Amino acid sequence: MFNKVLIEKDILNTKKTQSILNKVKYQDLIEIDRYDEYFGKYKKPYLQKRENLNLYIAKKKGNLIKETPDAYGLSGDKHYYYIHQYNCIYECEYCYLQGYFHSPDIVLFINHDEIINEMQKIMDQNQERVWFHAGEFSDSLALSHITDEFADYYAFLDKNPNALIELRTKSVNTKALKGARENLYITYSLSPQQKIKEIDLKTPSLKHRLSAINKLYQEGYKIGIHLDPIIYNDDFKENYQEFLDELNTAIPIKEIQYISIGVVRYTPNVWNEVKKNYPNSIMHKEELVKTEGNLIRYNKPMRMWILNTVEEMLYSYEIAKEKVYKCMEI
Amino acid sequence: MALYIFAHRGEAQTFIKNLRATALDKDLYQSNNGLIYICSEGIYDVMCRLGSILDKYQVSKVINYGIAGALNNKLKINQVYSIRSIYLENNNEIEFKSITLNGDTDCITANKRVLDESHKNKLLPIADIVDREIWGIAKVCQAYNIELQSYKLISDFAGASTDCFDLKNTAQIFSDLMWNHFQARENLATNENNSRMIQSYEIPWDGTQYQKNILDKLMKKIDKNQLETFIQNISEQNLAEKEKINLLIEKINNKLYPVQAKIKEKLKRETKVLSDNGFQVIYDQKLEKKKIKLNLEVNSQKNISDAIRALEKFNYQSFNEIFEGNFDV
Repeated sequence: MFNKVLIEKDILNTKKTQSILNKVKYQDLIEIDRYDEYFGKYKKPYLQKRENLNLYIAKKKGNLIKETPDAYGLSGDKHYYYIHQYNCIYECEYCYLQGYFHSPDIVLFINHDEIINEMQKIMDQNQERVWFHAGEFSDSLALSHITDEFADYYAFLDKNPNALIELRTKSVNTKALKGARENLYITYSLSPQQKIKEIDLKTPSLKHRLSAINKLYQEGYKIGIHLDPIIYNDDFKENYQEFLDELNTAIPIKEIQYISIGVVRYTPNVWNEVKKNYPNSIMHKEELVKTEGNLIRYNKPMRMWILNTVEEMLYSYEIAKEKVYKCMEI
Repeated sequence: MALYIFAHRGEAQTFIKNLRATALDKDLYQSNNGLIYICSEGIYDVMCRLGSILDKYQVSKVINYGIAGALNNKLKINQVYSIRSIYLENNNEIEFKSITLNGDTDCITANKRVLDESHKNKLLPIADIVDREIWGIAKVCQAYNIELQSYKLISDFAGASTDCFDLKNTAQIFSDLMWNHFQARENLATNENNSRMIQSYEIPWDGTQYQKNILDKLMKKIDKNQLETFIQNISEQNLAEKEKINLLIEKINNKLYPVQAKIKEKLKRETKVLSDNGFQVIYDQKLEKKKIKLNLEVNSQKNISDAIRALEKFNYQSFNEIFEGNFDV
């Protein structure tokens, strides 16, 4: 699976590192002093993840937790994301990671104890609900059978009922999860199958994602859904109606904890990468413009119409209005 | 023509002989197949001189052959690898900018020969092959927008066990091996070129450069059969060529972006009361900002009365609803 595994010398013999090494296939193992002496120091083309993907195992230094941007989650609560991994095994054509780290290599940080300490500090200063989102720079479940960090986070959740963790994913790899909790949310990014096939490269199909959602729902997990990114096509309304019907059979839509809806958008850097990496992408047929906030996306009437249309469809399944929010549209 | 570039004369000797190349200038040879340039070791010489050669001669592609060291001990001695990403070690730091070619193995250009294990271990996480000049060659080719291919023959393993001091004795053998690889590739490329078909589509009318630019972008997105149908229909209409192109642009836009077309139609309808009464209505071309600009030429009291009436009739709320996405398609 990996070409080279690069490990920081200091953590080579730790239990966590050895556990990861036992579970991954690789060609060469190389000891290094610090991952950041290599990762992001030189530009490695994004699409080399297809045939030359390296894995770094490292300790995260600096900020372990960051505040999220506005309109990131349900309004009224505080939101943070924690950083335990960089990059993703999937290859979504719109993914902003292709313009972010200058390298597609995966970095697994093993100092979860330090991340949790930081989360605890925040909880100690707050009486209200605080959200901690995973998956800002990676998929939260895709490699979880290898990283196996959930026991530590479950202990934190049990100790802090006001702390809410969201695991964002497109993966059906749920076996490392350790049971439902009131304050644990598994959230899936979904699109109609045709769009998954066209631009969510190497990700599980809609059918498999819905099957995983159904299984988790039956087991009592709290489920959130991200209908993001929404991309217009000629049969957009029919496609979304059909797709939401399918979702409703996997989990009654009104039972979903929250649904975010967002229209496809790019920073100029990412858009340049998309043009280079996927010159034949269906995205190049869309009429996108550079808008306020320096984002490349549909013009305002178009994206508001798309969001309103999907929002109205969702309400027809009797989901409470406060559970639906528009991502990146204030 | 092609430019074949080598670091050392020893590496190029079989190419010079078999291509019957004759000296043209210092370190530069010419044959019927193209130019051969001996650039010497390191990035500095090649970065100084390659540009002037590309300026002077009509070079369409650059092909680099050379021997290199293996950082990864899984690579095979005497095997030729085509180079993919090229990195640079510069003053003991790794240069951020890399250059990527169509090969399959990464190479780092080191600022000195790799003679010890610590230097080798420092470079190994980045690439499997180390050389001394390809980054310089690639940088110049990139600046001149000229295609580059690079093939490296592994002569030895970099690090403490390197044989890089004895290469003069084996240069002939290495040059022969690279020539064999080159010939095999040339035969393959000839077959591929013969089987390639070129397709293009011409618009039968002359337009402005602005129209051409818009059409160039749109034609990449529209189905060719659909385009032919549009052109056929428009050809039958009695219009000037520029008008025909405008109509074609409109038809393609409406086909590609039906919702956008409807949004524009709605905006036009909402502001019709203003445009019918002398206002030039300008709204944000990107449809991002919820505002309109009105220009009015006044040359009578009637203009003013009409304008006041039109402004009173104009329903800003309806205009605003379009930007909020509250419409049906």
